Amino acid sequence: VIADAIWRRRADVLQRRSLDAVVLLPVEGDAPLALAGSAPEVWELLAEPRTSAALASTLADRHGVPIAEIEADVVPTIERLTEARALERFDPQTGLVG
Amino acid sequence: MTRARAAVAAYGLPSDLDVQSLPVAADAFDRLLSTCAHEGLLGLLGAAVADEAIGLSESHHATLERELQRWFAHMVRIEQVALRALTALEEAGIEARVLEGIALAHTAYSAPERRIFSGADVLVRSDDHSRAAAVLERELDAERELPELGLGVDERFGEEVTLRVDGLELNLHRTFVGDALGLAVDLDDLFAPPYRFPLAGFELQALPMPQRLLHACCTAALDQRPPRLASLRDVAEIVLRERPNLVDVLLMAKRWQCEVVVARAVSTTWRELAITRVVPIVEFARGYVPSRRERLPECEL
Repeated sequence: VIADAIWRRRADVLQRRSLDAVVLLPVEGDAPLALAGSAPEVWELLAEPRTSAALASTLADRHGVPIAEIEADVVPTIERLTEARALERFDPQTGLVG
Repeated sequence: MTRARAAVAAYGLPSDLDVQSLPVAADAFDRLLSTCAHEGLLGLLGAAVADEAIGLSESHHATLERELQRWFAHMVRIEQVALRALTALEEAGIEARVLEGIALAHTAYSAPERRIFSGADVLVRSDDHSRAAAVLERELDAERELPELGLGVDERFGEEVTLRVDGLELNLHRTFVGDALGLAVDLDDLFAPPYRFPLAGFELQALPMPQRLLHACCTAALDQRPPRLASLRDVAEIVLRERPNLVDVLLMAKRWQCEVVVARAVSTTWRELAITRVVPIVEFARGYVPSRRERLPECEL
């Protein structure tokens, strides 16, 4: 995960939010994935595109926890969401996604 | 338990019922969970817990979470099948609308999590029905639950054909009500300019108003006795959140000869969910006097 990359939700993801998790299924995906822990909050915040640093900062403010501690949790969550094809990296300058 | 499940069905509505009085003892909670699952109310129960209107023990919370995840995983798979079906139909030049669970969850409710559904429902024109079924069988490997009784029977007389796609239910409708009432429904009304809504990057088409309310009333009043509480909640959501124009509703209901169905669905909804806000359609429903024909045993609701 690149710290200054901007992440956003992919548009083609079906989703539901349970009490403790977010259930996701890309339209072309094979099976739904339920992610708990920090994933539901990260997913909620990424309704607006953000960098992982901005995400960590927002979560640190919300929970009163040091940014470094939050980053250690946010980075693997972004990796899991990206692997699940639920997130994409977005360059606002060029409009390119990756 | 009847009052408890009605309180869940009414959660978030202006109602005399209150979820704070729900049973949270172990046995009673298990029964409530089972009843809510049967009535399609788990999403509303989850909403009440998420809003902290109901306090659960850790173990009950975990049980509810497991059930919600199981249903939500099922529902996104259903939506995936619906999107594949709609894409295949569009590519074949067949116009289609989504009905019932998917349409209601994403249009009538404040959050789709609140409306549980178990299958996808897609409506096509009568003339396209057989061809649409063939397209879905070919493109999605869909399998019919029952063979057609004879060539063209589904297209002329059937209400819907149930298909299975990867084990999931896909109902292909040509209308949404059978028997005598179905003959009075003007099928062209179902393809009036649709209500459009987004889903995962797609634009889907649902019935416009007042057709969407009439459909919900038919389901609530005719599908099951006693009616499913989720169906009553659908009627309440549409009436209270979308506020359909009463004159439009009554004119179309008269044309479809289903005023008694609307009256029955709305008055039952307001009574069973103990809704306190009275809007004009509720006054109409409470004051409706069935005609002699509507009082015949075969027309009794």
